[in-house]
Amino acid sequence: MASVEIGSVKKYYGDIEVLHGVSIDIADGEFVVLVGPSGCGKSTLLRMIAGLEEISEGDILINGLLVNDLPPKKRNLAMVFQSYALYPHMTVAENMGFSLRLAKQPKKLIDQEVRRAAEILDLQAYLDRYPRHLSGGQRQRVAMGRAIVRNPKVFLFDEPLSNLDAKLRGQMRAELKSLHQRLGTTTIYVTHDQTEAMTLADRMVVMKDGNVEQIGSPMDVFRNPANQFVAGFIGSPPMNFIAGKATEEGISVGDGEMIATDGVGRTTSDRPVYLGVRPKHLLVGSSAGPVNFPFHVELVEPTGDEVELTGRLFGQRVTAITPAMYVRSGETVPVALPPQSLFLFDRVSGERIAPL
Amino acid sequence: MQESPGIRLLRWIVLFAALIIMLFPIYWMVNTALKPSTQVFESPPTFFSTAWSLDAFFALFESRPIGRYFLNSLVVAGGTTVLSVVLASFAAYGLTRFPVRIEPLIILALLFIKMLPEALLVVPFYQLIADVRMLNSYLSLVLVYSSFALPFAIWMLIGFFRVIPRDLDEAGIMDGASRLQTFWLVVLPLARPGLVAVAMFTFLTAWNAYLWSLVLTTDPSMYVLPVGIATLKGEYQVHWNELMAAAVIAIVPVLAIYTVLERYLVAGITAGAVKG
Repeated sequence: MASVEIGSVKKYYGDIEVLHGVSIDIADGEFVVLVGPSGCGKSTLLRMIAGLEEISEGDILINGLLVNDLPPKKRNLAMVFQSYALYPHMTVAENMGFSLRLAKQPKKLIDQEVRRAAEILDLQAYLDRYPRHLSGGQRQRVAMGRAIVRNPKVFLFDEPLSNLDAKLRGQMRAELKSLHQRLGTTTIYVTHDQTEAMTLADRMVVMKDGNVEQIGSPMDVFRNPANQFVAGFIGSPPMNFIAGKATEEGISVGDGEMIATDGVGRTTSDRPVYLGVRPKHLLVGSSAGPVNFPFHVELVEPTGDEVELTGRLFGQRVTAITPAMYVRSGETVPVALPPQSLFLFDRVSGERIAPL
Repeated sequence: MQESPGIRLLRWIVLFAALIIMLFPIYWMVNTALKPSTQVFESPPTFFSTAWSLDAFFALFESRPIGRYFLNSLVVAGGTTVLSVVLASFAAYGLTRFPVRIEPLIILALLFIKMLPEALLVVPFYQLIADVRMLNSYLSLVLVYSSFALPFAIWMLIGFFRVIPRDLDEAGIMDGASRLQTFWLVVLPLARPGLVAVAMFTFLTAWNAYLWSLVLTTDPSMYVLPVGIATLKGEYQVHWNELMAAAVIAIVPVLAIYTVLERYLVAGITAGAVKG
């Protein structure tokens, strides 16, 4: 087990800078998820930690030891690939024992370690099979087994669940989490799926265009997004943003309608802002609140207990989630925006205007 | 789908016709090799003779060092195959695993070399080999054959190596393997059908090559089979049955190799086409 320090790391491909000085401190035993849309540099960063990509600038330290110039083999990390990258010509046992075989460990020890990992992952029955005879979930487990066998200081996961179907993904997610709880190994996990990030992470690192946008615990990031990007990226369906203008009394939107914010973010008058509100925080219905606004419903999508409504509020597109109720598209229903669930962002910089 | 008897019959007829066209020369070669020389030019020709015997083979072994030719061919074709496959797999690995800026140019150059008629290079190659005093040596033949076999071998192996995911190399590296170990333990085993196909093709081409050993060997003890067989065509008379007997001997290894490795070859041919 080990800590990982990433200090002002940059990556260039030719003249193109794809990581603009990323710094993250990862504590011993922590489960950190790097999350962001594709092309944000999260996989590149992971591959730099692994040693598969060179570090153009900055330092990476594992347990206090500078590893910039160490080959992957000397860093003692294990990586699970999105494609699993199982060796097709080796059995499950050979796949899992390959690293020990390369390290010239005695056969008895290899057997023992492979058995231990197989037990943890419930793979004992498959040790003599070839990867092509396994299902997706089993392959995924073998890939994890290959990592566990080595007793590495750090586990690296590169979108390990994205090739699985939705049901299996949820199951493997839970297994991953319990695995981390049992082994306690420092883990760095890359995904573009915010649900995965929320459920797995001790701390998540939200990235965009080669920059870190926010680092924090999932609930902290969810409740206190640092900027409009993070607010829109974390949470599903994404937060609604309503363009408006800050005034003395509140936020003016649409045709001069005024939304009271109770000082959610007091700011200079006439500053262009976005008012953010999560779909679940929009209160739909006649008894919704003291001040109601007309919401023109255009699309009704029942999901079971709840209904997802898409339509126009102040002439802007908005999604609301509400407990199952009878609404038809084309109807206009009253909604309220509770001041305590509102976020305010600068429309130019996207920065959060913090509550007072 | 059930095919009608008419279609099935037609299919068999077409297959059979094709088979006859392909196999008749081989049959005729064996037939001629077994006939006594007096019957070779009989008209009408005989397709089967009670006088069939192995006399031509015995005569051949007395008149020519066929065993020596055979050995020469084996050494040259074997050496060419080993050298070409080893060099080609390194080259193909490098080209598919590392960013090479001039890769398209290299691939084009490989094709271009393949397009040159061999005869064009006879004089320069002869001069080159003569200058370094390497005429009549196995090494010079192996090197020259390899120079012709390599472009095609590399070209084919690039196709095979490309479909092996690079994630596997990286998984190997993360597991603690060196580049050479990933090459040897991960990539090569997966490319085996391709390696076998390339090795077979290289061996057969070298085995049948005539021009270069004709030019580069002057000492009869260094003749390879095709050149040795050609010497059986004398100035005044040709012992056709002995010539054919020599040809029969020459195709034995080819047949043997095909029989043993046929399933790899088929796998190799299809592996390139559809992602394997």
